[in-house]
Amino acid sequence: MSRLHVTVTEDCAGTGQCVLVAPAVFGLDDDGLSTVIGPVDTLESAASARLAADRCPMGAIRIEE
Amino acid sequence: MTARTSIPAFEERLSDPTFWADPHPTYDLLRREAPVYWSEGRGHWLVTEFDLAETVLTEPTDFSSVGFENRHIARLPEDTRVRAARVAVHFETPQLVSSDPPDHTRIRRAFGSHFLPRKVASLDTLIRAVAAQLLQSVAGRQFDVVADLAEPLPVHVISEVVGIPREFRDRIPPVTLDQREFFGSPSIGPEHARRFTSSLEEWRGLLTEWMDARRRTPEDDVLTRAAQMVDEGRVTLDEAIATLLHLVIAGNGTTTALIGNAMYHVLRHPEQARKISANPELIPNAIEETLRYETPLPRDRRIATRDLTLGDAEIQAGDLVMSVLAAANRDPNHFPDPHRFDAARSFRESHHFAFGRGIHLCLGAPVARLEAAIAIEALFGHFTDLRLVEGYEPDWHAITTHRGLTKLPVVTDRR
Repeated sequence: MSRLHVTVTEDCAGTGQCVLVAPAVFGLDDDGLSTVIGPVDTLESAASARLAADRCPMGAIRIEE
Repeated sequence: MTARTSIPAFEERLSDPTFWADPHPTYDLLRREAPVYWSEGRGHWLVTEFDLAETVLTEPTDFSSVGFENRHIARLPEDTRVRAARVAVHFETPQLVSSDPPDHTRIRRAFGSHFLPRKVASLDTLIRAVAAQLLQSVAGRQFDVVADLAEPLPVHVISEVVGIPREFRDRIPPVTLDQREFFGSPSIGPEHARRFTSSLEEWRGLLTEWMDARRRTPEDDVLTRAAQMVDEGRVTLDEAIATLLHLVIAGNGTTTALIGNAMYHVLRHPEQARKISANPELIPNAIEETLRYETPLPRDRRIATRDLTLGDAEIQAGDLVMSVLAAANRDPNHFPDPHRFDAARSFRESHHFAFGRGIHLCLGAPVARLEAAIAIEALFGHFTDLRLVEGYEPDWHAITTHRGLTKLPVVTDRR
């Protein structure tokens, strides 16, 4: 599959929900905010990134094909 | 497939007055026999299995957060209901816990800035100072962890975060109690509805007044942010008021329960208490275990938006569905030996549900965690030999919405 373009917007509040469901894709930076740490280029990572976007309390994860 | 079929033996256990002393044998039974169970007596489904509770919490299009409060009010006896008309209006306004996307996302973004990790970390010094001050004024060899520390500390902290003036802070516990009893007490009457109505009215007036004051003199607090969000048209005045009051109320009672529950379970296990007292870096994990083991907010409510199947239960559109967080947190498929309090338990495989899951994850969770950890550290720092009063039997608040101790008397010989 082609690589998905995943970004965390400035709405991130560091709730860590994305790290729980997609630990290979998201991590927390020094400010405790979410950041993309891994590529989203497999079906599994794409599914977990989408789940993270669904569950983000701030709606702060953007996914583009 | 099971539609709404209540089982008399389960109903009896759920309504037994001794249920609250230890609800877990009943929750275990439900999880094994009917993990999605319709209780006729309670008037809602109880979801006790971890994976199913997670589904309910993370699929807001199927399980809505709107309308619970007014459903509750509609079920009250008429003489109480008529006096709760103003309460109903207040809870019709979307705020954090009673809204779905896109309202929820909009409101959460408007208020989220004061709960960012860096912002919360900056509260550390304040929380330590308040905890130290409270413990210094404790007199005698015996004191009550709940009344002397667990109640006043969160009231002080949430007041600083929101910007509640000092002279009004003693009004926070009464409105918190009013709301908790209104939604959680099995027997509320017209007098109660009248009291809650008048405290809501009073708070709405005060919050409006304080937001006006912040327009003239901005501060670094949530009231200032709220006024700004209203002026920019991002939230309505009613939404701002409802959300502010929610933050004040949710920001103290639950953390009070967490601090009391944590100290109780740590002291109940003297070996773990000794280890924690000597190694304060173990405290944050002990707080996580308390959140799992004695979940301060034991359930979260949703309303089904369509007919659907959950587990093997057929839920109808409009049914009230309770995720029993306290039961999911003791699901043996996710937490080995779930009925053991283990302050060193690893949460790497499964994380507990105490703050919810998904979009409604508790906004104040980082503040609650920080306050509870500092409270426990301060207790052990001030009194190295703390222990429970001999013969102490826990007295839990008899309400469905919270799990917390009415008092926690402890003794020390070194002071």
